[in-house]
Amino acid sequence: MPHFSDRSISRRQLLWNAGGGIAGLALCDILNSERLLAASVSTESPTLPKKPHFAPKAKSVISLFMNGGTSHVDTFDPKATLTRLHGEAPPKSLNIESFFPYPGTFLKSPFEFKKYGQCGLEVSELFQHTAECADDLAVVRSMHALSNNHTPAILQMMTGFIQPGRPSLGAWAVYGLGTENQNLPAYVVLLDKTGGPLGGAQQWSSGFMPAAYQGTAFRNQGQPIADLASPNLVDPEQQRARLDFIEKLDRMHLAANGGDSELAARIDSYELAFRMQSKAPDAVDLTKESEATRKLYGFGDPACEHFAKNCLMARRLVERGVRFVQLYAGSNATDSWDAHAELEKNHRTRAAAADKPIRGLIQDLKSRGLLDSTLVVWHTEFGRLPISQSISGRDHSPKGFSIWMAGGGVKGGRVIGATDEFGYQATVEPHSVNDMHATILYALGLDHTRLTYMYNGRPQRLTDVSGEVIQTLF
Amino acid sequence: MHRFVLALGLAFTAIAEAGADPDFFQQKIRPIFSAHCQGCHNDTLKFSGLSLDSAESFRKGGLHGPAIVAGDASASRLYRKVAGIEKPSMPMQGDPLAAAEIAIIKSWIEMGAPWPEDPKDQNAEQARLDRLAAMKKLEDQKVITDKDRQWWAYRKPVRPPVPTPRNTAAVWNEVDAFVVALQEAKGLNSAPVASRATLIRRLYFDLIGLPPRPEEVEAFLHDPSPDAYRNLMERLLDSERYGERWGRHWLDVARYADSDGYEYDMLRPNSWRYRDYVIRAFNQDKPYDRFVREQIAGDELPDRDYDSITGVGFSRNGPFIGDMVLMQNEQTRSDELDDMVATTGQAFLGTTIGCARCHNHKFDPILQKDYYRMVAVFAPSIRKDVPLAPAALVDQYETQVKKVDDRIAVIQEQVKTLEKPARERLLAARYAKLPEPVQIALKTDPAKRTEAQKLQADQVKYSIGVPETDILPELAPADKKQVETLTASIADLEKSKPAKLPEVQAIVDQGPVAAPSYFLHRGSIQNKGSEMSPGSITVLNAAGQDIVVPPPQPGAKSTGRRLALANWLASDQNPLTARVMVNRIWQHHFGRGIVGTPNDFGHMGDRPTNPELLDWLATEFVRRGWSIKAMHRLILMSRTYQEASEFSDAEDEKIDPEDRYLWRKPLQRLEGEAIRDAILASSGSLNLKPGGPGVFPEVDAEVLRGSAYQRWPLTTDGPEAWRRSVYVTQMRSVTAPIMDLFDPPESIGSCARRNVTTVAPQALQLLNNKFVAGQAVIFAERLRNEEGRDTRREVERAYTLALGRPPDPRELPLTLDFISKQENYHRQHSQVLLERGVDPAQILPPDKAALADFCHSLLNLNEFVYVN
Repeated sequence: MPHFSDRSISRRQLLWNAGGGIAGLALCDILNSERLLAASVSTESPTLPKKPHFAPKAKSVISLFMNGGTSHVDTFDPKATLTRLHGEAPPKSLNIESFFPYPGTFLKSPFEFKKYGQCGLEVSELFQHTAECADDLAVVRSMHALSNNHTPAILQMMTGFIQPGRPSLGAWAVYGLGTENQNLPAYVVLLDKTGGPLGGAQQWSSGFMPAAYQGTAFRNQGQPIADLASPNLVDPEQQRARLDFIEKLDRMHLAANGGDSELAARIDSYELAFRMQSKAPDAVDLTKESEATRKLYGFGDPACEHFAKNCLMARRLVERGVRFVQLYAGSNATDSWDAHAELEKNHRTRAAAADKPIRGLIQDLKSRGLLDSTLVVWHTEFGRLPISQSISGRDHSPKGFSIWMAGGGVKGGRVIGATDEFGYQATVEPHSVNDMHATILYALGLDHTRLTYMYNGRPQRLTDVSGEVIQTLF
Repeated sequence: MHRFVLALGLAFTAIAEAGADPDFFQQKIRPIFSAHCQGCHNDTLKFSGLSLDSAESFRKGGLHGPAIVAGDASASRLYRKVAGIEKPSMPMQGDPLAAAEIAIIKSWIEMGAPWPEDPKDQNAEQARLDRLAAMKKLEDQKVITDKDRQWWAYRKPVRPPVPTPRNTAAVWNEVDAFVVALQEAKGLNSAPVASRATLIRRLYFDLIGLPPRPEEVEAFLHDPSPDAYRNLMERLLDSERYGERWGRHWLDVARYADSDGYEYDMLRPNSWRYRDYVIRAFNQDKPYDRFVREQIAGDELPDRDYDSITGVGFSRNGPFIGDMVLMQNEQTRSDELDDMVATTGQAFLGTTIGCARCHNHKFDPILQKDYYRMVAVFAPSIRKDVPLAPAALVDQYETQVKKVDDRIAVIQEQVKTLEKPARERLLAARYAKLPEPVQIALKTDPAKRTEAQKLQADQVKYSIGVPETDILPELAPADKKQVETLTASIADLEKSKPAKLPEVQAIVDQGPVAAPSYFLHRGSIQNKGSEMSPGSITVLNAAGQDIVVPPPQPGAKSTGRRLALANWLASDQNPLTARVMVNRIWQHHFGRGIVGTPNDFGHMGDRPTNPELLDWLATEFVRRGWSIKAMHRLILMSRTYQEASEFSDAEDEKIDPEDRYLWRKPLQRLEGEAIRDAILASSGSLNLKPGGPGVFPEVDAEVLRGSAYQRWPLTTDGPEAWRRSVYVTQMRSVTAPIMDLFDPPESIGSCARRNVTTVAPQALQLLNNKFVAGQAVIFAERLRNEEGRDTRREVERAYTLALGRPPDPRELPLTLDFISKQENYHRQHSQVLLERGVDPAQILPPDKAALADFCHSLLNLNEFVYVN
């Protein structure tokens, strides 16, 4: 297992060996199998596939992040008590901590809950389409997080820490496992149409690790990857001619420098860039999908079309060997789940934008046999309080909230843990964000206590000094 | 401050004992506090640091100091705020206090503000003392031993004798003597000296971060003087560009950025003054011990000046969660102090003291107590933007501003009065839409409300309001006009304020006496242990010795704690300070330090590859008055530095594949900043304007959409943005092109050494990015202007501009062939572009397009981004 560090890492280790790079290129089109290409590219790319610690359950992760804080008591954690005590003051003993001053009275959920699937999982009407996959979902109702403030809370979900500067979960996954397709970024971030989450690129950063592990945020318009195409409408043959010229000069320089491996690696990176130019647009070309598939995801419904695109793209990416795809439903702008007032209106709109696409994703992955090797994680930075804020909304609730997982070896149709009768605090089998991270790494075949990176005088971990795998999920 | 609070406490007790009416507080004051103040000022929310939950917390005061001066209402912040004398007035939310209530508070303060002591539980007090004693035992558990002090980095460097290697020809100065002696011991051969063409490019990028101009290359190659190299070096050390290059290295260490990070990532309007200060310090060759003192205690130095107060902004460079009261609490302050202490440890001491926040350091003999004693050094400080102006001018400025503000306040009051009926009407309409039980709650007599109704009523008061924009259309025409006139006059008054004085972001102490600072068990603010006095790192001091903070002089404004620490850091007795800095200098000259982990000289760090050399350099650094330029001269004049990097030797390769012993000069990849600067320099469009606020080069609009709040403006590429990269705004959430993909420092913690990774997106960027493509065209135009359509001469000049040398006999025909093929291609391609509807004005003539393609290729070469 790699145990890189900022001291022992040699620059060479991080780079690719010259051997095979160019020779492999001629084969490129013949093989026509993108996954096989990796082996021909190089031997020491920082993102080359690496062996896991133990047999993995999942090869890839698709993380569906509901930005702004989705209310658990209005989605996956029904609370009859709130209906009963609607409008009443919470008992002092509950000691509710709110982010904003002036906490209110108990607020019942305005949404109807129903039982779904053979397992009878209770889900509100907000996720009625997702609920069709109830038997695949394992809901953890006992999550708790450290901060009741958005940015630190999202940072914790993404990087394990409430302070910025740490590598994100996707970066750790790629650091530990590399990726199976060198023609696409190992770790892709798909943003909402109105923008990114609070904290921006800090949320998919590689922190103190090399930039090679950071997430690549796909552009929502035009080419998916920045600078993928020449601004002057250059066709591939012409690009080839230019690259050939550059390579000839680089090779002479390389020879004069004794075949230095760093220089050779950089020559390789140009070949890879050339292939990325032709392969990446294809990976995100959704017109190649059948009408039925598109419909399954919710194409044609303007309420959810953007997230539908991103979910479908996520499937195409994991299908091509991308290790980690991070989706954001909602952004920092107006379309966040952050329902401090008028929760009903806010959550209906937000859920309508995500519900059908999520169903589409799970059903599509399943029908293609990809769900077994893809872990789908649905999460949010915190839940929302059982009491009102601004009369019709709810404030942030990090002490108890819900997430769910599907696929990737997770046994569906079950509920793990519980909050108290009001939905305020995780009381039965409470799980921290560290636990969630340990579990995701576990599904990928990585032991979170052994996946370390030497920085700042000590071996650093995604889970710092705690975290336990939620074994009951598998 | 501490003494003052204590005195105040005694005064309370005295009054209470003197028999002041305790019922007055319970009956008159308590209800006012609970109705108007405690919503925010309680133990949990503690807005502005003030809690009115207990006599004790009240006496502690808030972030701005004590809430009252007993016996003097007009000097008491509490009274001034509720009476509207001091802005912002209180309560911030909700209705102002009734005149009668304000009067009650006034008389209470004048009575001495009696607040009967909260009853104490004797057993609880004993339990508290027991717990503290137990904690103290834990705090003192680990002891530093003599053995701990024996670690190589913790022993004061002793100047070693200069060795005398056999190969005297390879020894040009002391540096070589140490390097060659070790090479001989390892059985390594050293490389021959590099060519002059290589040396000039190396020196240029190393010292000023720019490629040499062709004329400079020409002059150097033919300079007959035996001192040609030395003269070139001196010229570059004297160049203003030098500070821009080496200042950037220090900015990495100082985790410099132009924005706060976190959620809001607010731009910092004054951060650039610290950046310019660093550049200036390098250009002036400010002695490093002074540089250290200024950055830790620039505000406390006896000979402080504008420069030193700017330097102390070092402690403001870290990420900051924001000024919003909701974000400011004891935890965020603890994180801020952690940033200051951890960065100070790494930057000046190469020590990961930050690891001792929650427990004794796991690998190094650094005590958790050391950490909290360092915290106590910084704890009395507050963040302050300090004007760079004489006190008299500042006073004058503030008086003028206050005068205007007072007038504005009066007008705002008039506006409020005019709007009152409309506001009330609109509010009533909003209330009418609320759920029925809530409306009932509002209508119920406050005294008779149930618990739920109280919550609901308070919530409505706090959260349901009427936005200003809704009110204006509701006003009667005459009132509306008057409000508009008044609003306009406010705008005029705002404009009449004097121009803001230049400010720097600094830290200064709140006063001469520090508030207590505590040992935090497991790093948690919930687990306060013993009170800590300021101190340094035990293992670095002789047993029983530590920094001494002299008692503050009369009239002092500061505790002097940071000055004491600064003097300890910048002392030649400190075993680490000089070693750590010479190692950084060495690292940038060779790509790797003598210690490969420049921020960690502890047990988890690398051992020095050449400890004698490190110690000799460290003592020499001090001997030469901590002059950084003197260290450059020493290193650059060595033969070791001037070795060729093309040299290969199978035997050497086998013995030392990583080139740790410098048998050849390591190749170095340029940082993103230097690559961007080199592109601009080659094309001739580099704008050398120094200093001032950062510029915003064009960033892809889609990337900006992904950033929170989109603070980076949408700009169009142009000469104003084509300044040196050190002057490009460095936000924590957005990084300008080129710098973004070539391993930028994450600028959250101190960055000792940049990563060097090679990935395909970098190639895509240099091949396809609009900025690079645009510069290639400008590069081609430059060639046209300078060499005028003689392709061969254009090619020769292009090579020299970009690579510092003319093309060799193999490259020249290859290049000419490429250009001619490209010209053919463009002749056809321009037709295609026209057919696709591209604006003809945007299509370059084929010959020029071909030349631009060639220029573009040069910017992509390995030789362009690597320095031999």
